[in-house]
Amino acid sequence: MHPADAPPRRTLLLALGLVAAGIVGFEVALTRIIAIQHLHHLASVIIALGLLGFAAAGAFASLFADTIRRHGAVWLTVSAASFALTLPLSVILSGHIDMTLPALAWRPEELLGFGLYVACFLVPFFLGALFVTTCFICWSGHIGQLYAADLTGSAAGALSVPLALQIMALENLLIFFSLAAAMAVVLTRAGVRNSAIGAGLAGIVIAIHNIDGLPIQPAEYKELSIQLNTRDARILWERDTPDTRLTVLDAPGLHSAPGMSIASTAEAPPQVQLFFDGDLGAPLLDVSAPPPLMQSVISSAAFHLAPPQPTVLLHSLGGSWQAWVAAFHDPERIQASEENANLRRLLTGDAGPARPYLPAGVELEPMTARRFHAAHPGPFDVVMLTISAPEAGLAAGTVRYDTTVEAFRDVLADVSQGGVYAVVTDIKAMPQHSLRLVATAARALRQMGKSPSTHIAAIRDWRNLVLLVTQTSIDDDRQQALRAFAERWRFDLVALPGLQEADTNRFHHRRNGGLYGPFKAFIEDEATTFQENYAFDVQPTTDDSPFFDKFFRRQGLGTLRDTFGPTWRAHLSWGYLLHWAALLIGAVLALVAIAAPLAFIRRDRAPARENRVRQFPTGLYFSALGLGFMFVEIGLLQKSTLLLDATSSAFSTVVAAMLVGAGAGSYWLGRRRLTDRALVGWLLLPAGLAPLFMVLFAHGFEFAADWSFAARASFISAAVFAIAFPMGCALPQGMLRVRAAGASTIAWAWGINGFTSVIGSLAAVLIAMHWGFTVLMAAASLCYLAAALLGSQLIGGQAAFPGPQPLPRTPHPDPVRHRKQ
Amino acid sequence: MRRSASVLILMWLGVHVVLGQTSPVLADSDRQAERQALVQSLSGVAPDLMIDDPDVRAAMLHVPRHRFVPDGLQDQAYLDKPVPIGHGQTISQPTVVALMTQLADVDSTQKVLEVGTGSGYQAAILAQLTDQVYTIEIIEPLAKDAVERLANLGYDRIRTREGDGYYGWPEQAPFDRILVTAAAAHIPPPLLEQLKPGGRMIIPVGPRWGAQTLMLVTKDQAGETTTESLLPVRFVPLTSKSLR
Ligand SMILES: C[S@@+](CC[C@H](N)C(=O)[O-])C[C@H]1O[C@@H](n2cnc3c(N)ncnc32)[C@H](O)[C@@H]1O
Repeated sequence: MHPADAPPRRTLLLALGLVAAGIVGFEVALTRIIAIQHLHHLASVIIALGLLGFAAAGAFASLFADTIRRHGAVWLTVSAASFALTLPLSVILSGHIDMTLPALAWRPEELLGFGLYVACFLVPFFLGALFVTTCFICWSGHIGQLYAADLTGSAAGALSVPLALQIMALENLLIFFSLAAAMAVVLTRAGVRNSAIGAGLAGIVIAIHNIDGLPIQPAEYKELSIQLNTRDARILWERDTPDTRLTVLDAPGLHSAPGMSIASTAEAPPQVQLFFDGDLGAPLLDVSAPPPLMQSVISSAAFHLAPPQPTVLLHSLGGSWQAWVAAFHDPERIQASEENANLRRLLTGDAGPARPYLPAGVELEPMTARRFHAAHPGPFDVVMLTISAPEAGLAAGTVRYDTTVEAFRDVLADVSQGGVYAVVTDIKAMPQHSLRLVATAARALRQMGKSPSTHIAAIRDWRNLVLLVTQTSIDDDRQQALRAFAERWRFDLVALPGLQEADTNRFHHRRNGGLYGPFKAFIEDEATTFQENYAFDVQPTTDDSPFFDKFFRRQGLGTLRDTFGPTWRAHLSWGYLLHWAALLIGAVLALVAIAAPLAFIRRDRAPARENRVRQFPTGLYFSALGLGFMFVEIGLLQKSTLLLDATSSAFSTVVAAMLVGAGAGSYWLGRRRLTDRALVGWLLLPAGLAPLFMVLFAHGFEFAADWSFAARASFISAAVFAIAFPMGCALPQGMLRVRAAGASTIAWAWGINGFTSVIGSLAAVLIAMHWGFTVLMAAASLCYLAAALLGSQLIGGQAAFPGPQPLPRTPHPDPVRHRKQ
Repeated sequence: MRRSASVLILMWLGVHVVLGQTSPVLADSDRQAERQALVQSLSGVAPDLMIDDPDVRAAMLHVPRHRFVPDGLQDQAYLDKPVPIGHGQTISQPTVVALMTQLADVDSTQKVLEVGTGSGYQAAILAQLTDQVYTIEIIEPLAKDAVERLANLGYDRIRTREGDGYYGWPEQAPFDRILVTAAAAHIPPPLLEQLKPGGRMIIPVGPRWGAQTLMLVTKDQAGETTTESLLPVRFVPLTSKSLR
């Protein structure tokens, strides 16, 4: 095949779109696969590493650019076909890798499993990207069109996942992606051979489906897997949803009763359990009236600080436990926010085992806590949030908007005069979440002009802690009520106006003196001194940097070692360190992959000295684009989670809008070479818009909070499109400028862009964790500014033409090559 | 289905290899040196949580841990690690077994209940300290295997039962000591009820694969309960070569 500079056929563009949809759809689906098999918090790190395969394809292709150009059709067929095959195979293989991911922190052996796990996904990404790169090399004069097809396909892939998961299981969706790639094989070249290969692939993929060969199941260490080992355990209902897999399990030996007092003589109520991605088993009670034992549950404390017959609002319902606790206290009304539609249907008995698991009359609101408070002013007498806290800071990179200072203020504004905001969490060997919560509450109260020492109470047992924040000072009556409750059910008070240390740490003795001291420090504004000496970072989080689970503190390592001796590493905040490790791996690989092909390219282009000199700005230009693009994408994605409820919907919406925007920009602005001045103009746009968007998003939340999902998603999409459009011209314009330097340079630039995108996505999270989204967006601005400055200095300017022409001569006048500057 | 069948076959093989090995003498000298090295290496987890009870150390020296570990994983029997025994379960890490036994503070007159028989190893250790050991296991094949294994090794006074340990063993209650070897989300009220005044209960707390803490639950003469969280004792999860 010798495509020359003839425009790509429609069918080829379609094939490119299909492969791109497969790649990005697989990427999004991977967040679900990793969450089910292991842990969703680490999905972004694993995917970032997997995407190195994408970048590697660019580096690889730059070494074989000539061969690829000569045998384009073969490369396209082989890469698409092997992508179609390795996609399901990688998932099957990943399920057989034996690793205990949460133990990665302290068992070096697990690294091998982790490496293999990542390697599984590298392969399909590499092959898919090889197809894309091959298209770019073979039709380098039409990069605008190709890039548009690539991005549009990618956007479709991103969007398809949340939509498809409404109606089908994850396994089936993967089969569709694989079939799309098989279809691409057929479209790539008309002919019997490709049709036969395509049909064969489709046969294999369908066979895998029919023998149920692609099960995506939780690893052996996950709670659901363990429970399934008991006799008579059975799954009553299971459903994939865009943000979690819900499983209802019935088994003997299910006795969950979170926070039940040791003084209670009642047994845990009859129940089945609800699992989220195979973990976090939460009880679904099989009762028709609130069991009396609810009076002995620690979260009942909230009702002793509230007026009788309270109005109740519950957040993060999970199972139905807190609803039954609330129902016991004779409430006037119970509302609960729950954004997952399938979970709402399960709880109300409209889906699943078809019996309601909630007390009668609980009203479910289809939104997150934050949106609820922005859209529906209170007041409520009791607002309750339950937080499940993963171990080892594994969720360090996950944003959480319901525990920021702003969130506390929003909720408190909706609490009635005699009311209370209760946050239920668990206590670690060395407390983290509970301390960050009290620190946040104290700061929010101070900002509202209230004194934390008269508005905060806390109560605990050996495992759970309830933080209680009131609207008005906790008067003597309410203090007495809480003390009596604690005494009756043998709970320990941690904070309460007038509480003395001797009154604490009595029923559930903790060796380090309970939590009285640390809580006092935060309540009495001695947080700074306390924080300086504490092993973990427990400063409040804000909407600008809502990383609630980021506890790592370098200065705290010594304290950890002193406190825990040989087991200290088990207490490290590993999620954070893993981001650094991934960034380091990405950076090293990127340097190698960017530097190695250079030698080759130099030989390739030896006569054109001019080009060599400009490889530096070229490298920088494409690096700035890779970093800048990801900084914007990650920033917008994590910021829009606030308005779009879940990371999964934000992910699909923002990624799709970014891709469509950039695709459109690439199509309209990338077809012909712009003047340098025009390019600078277009690149300055995202540089200016990026910081502005943070402001727009913050204010947008205020007025869009109660819009329908479609309206909110459209609002976010429109904004993202606006910034992505000018961003889209940067890559094809760069490519058009360097293509005269040779096909290998195009692949090389593509590789640089791929690697720096991976690095950018990991660095973006770290920047946001440390300095917040405002700084992240400023960094994105700088990247586009740098690109604007470098755009006119790339290789392939006029001076390059005396060298041998690397691209096939074209029968058509090519606007790019003959344009005079 | 197929997975559990292969586990059963492995177990069957394991049992037969155990059965095939010479006489069921308790103190067989087989792998004595390794055991000695292991016990010597067990120190403790903190200055106030040292494994220093001579009776506990003697019991650990006496019981052949390798007989409680599945066949393919014998080489791990004398490492200070939990070892998979199938069905997603483990035989606890020696440090944890030693600490739990020591904290239980068992004497020869006392009646002890263990929840979570698993391999039967912890029960065998307890049987070195008292004749009245009762143990319950919820996973049927594990329970059956443990019964056979304990009988073969001559521990015929240990009473075993297959069932849900949450409800304890009411017919044999009350107990002086209760050891729960399966992590619990709350302290089962039936077990508290079956604990004698003045009794002690030991429970591991925390994630299976994370930083686990031991908790000591005591019931005073008036029948009031208090808990005490001790320092984290282990952080080793399943070994990576799990039994499938
Ligand atoms: C860590 S293993 C115990 C190891 C065991 N003590 C040994 O020495 O091999 C925990 C055991 O508790 C069992 N288990 C879990 N829940 C139980 C319950 N509700 N009742 C009885 N046994 C239970 C598990 O099946 C498992 O065998």
